Amino acid sequence: MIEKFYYDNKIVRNFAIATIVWGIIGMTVGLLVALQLFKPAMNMGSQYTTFGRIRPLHTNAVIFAFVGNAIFMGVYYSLQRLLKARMYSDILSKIHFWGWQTIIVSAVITLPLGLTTSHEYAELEWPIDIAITLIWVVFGVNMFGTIIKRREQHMYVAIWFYIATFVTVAVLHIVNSFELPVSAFKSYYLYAGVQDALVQWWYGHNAVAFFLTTPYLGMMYYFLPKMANRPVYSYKLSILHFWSLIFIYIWAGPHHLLYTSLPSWAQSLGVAFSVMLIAPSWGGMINGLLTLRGAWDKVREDPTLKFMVVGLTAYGMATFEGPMLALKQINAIAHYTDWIVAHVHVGALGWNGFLTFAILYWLIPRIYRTELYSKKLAGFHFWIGTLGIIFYAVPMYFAGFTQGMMWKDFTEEGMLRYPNFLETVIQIIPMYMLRSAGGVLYLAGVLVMTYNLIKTVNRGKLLANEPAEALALEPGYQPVGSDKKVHRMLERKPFIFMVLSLVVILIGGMVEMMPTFTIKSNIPTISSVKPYSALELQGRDLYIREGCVNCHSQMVRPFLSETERYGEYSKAGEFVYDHPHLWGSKRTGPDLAREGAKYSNAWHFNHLLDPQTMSPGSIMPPYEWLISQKLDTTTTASKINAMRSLGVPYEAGYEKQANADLQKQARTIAADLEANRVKVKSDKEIIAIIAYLQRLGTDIKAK
Amino acid sequence: MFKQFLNEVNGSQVYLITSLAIFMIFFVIVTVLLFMMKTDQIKYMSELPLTEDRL
Repeated sequence: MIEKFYYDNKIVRNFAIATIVWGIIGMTVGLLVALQLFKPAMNMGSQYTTFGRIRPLHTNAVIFAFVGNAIFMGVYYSLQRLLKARMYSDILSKIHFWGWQTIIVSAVITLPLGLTTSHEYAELEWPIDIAITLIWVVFGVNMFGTIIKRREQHMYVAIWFYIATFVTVAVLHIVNSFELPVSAFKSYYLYAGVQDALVQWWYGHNAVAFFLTTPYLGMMYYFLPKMANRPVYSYKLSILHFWSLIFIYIWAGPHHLLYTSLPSWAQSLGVAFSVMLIAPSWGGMINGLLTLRGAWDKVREDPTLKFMVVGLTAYGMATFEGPMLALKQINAIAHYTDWIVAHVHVGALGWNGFLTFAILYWLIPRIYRTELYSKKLAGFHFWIGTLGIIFYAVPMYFAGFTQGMMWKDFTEEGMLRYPNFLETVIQIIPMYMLRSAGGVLYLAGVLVMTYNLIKTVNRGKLLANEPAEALALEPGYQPVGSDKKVHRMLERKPFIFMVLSLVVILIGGMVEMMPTFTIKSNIPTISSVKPYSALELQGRDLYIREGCVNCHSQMVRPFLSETERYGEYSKAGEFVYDHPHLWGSKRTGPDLAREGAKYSNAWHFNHLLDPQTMSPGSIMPPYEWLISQKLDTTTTASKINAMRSLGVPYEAGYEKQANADLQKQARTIAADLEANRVKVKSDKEIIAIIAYLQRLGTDIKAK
Repeated sequence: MFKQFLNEVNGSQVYLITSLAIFMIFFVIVTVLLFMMKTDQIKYMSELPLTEDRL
């Protein structure tokens, strides 16, 4: 029986608008943080627009708002058509759309306020984490509902990627969000130190895998054949691509923690699987590029295909570089430098950005029943965008390599050639300037696209409900011709498929994490490591609020070049009370793991007030608000209680005397400052942050 | 808060080799199943995005 039904194009259109709007916002914030890296005054003197707080806003906006909405746009368009069914529920679609936008708006509000968990790419605090979970479930129900009421018996490989995305992101988000709330917008992670770092980077790496990669591969497998009007080069390869990619990706997280205090077997495991990852990644890229075999003449004419080709090439470059960066020798130079920033942006600007633009150019005219307003402008966007990527990536590679080598350079006498960290920063500032020029070009391209698409929309009319018809799916399975039961059970049974994907991705995570969590010898305890004092704990939370971790690592790797510069290398046992860990992933400024007792209190005060007076040429912004703002001590008791329930051995009843203890330590610091001609009241925030900085790494520091 | 019930890992290479073995087994199974698929089925599947109007 032939059934008539309608595809929901309105929800696709809504997600498309959200993609463009958040894309512009996210990239503009990106430009703002890029400018601050050579002109700190671009923070406009406000704590709410200072690098540490808005760098997470940039990453969250481009990942979850720009790319997130683009995923939903692509999924809602392709899923309906591949399954020959309207989305399961219009109401769920609407809840999904508005829920997701509300989450993004809450991020835009909370992150500049300094409400952050400090886990990279998961900075949003616990109430928003719960909202994300709920909305993600809404998306899942809507997707599986559509799969169940489909009119096409078989699930095309794109849908496999969507299912894997849904399942894995759910697992990642939940495991990485185990937090103990302290107040409405403050929580501590259940995990501490090494375990927390492992969870964070298992999440972080797989957010790249299952948010920035698998859904886009699914979209590639649908939209590229549509654009080129020919089937994918090898469907068999796409199946192999799918299973090996989702299996291997989940193991690779520890490559973000090479040479850290993570047990070495976990590091080796991460390296081995990272190197293997190149095979499925390139399998996917080659499958995409070869889909265009015999259609290369079209690439010259069609801007959407141009975007696809460069996007796929960028994917190939990023996935070649990933395994390479996972090799310990290369990682030793690249880690903590701008090399990683370049690597990420080749993926984000090239792969995610260009695929999104291609799909927008292809899809908007179709649902508006018209032609693209200007192919020429789209062509211009393509070239300015490509130039933008080059101007962004090349200076960053240069900066990363230069700085990585400078950090490791010794004189013939065996002394560090650049003992002053600042020298290595000043060296690469011209690269930071060039990089923001690249960002301007890329953003200009997006604005041109927006204009082009608005003009296109004005020319046509949205076909909100697109009519279609298909045969109803017979209930029960009937094998036809050479149809064999075993072979295609999976693609006909979405839930078995989902469970199998879940099992596949859980294996890697469990092998990696279980031993670190359960085997004592993996994190040797150190008896001299003691919990933070009340004042230091409050100071640590200010350090988290200001996002210091975005520029300063707290992890001295066991290299001579690092122990010479910073001091004793970091041990796993030093971090057992760190909820969350603050190891960081980038050294725009020096490592702070051994910062304690290195400088006087007065030095820190003056440095935070105006970094340039203490370190001429520094690109650190001033933190004068720490001097004027009073430390909130009403939270001390609840923080101590929370920490105790997480296993930090504060004595029973300490929470009652914690504030008295805090004030005592604060007065000592204030008195010391006064003795050095710095007048500041002991109840100010700066006292707490100085206390924390002076504590860093001192537990096992040789006196 | 996590029960620490084991006290040591007997050689890290056990983890590595087991992990790689798990992957190899998985990969071989997927490959074998893949080669058992029929050509007409593959063709049908690969053309799904292009045959949206097919009844």
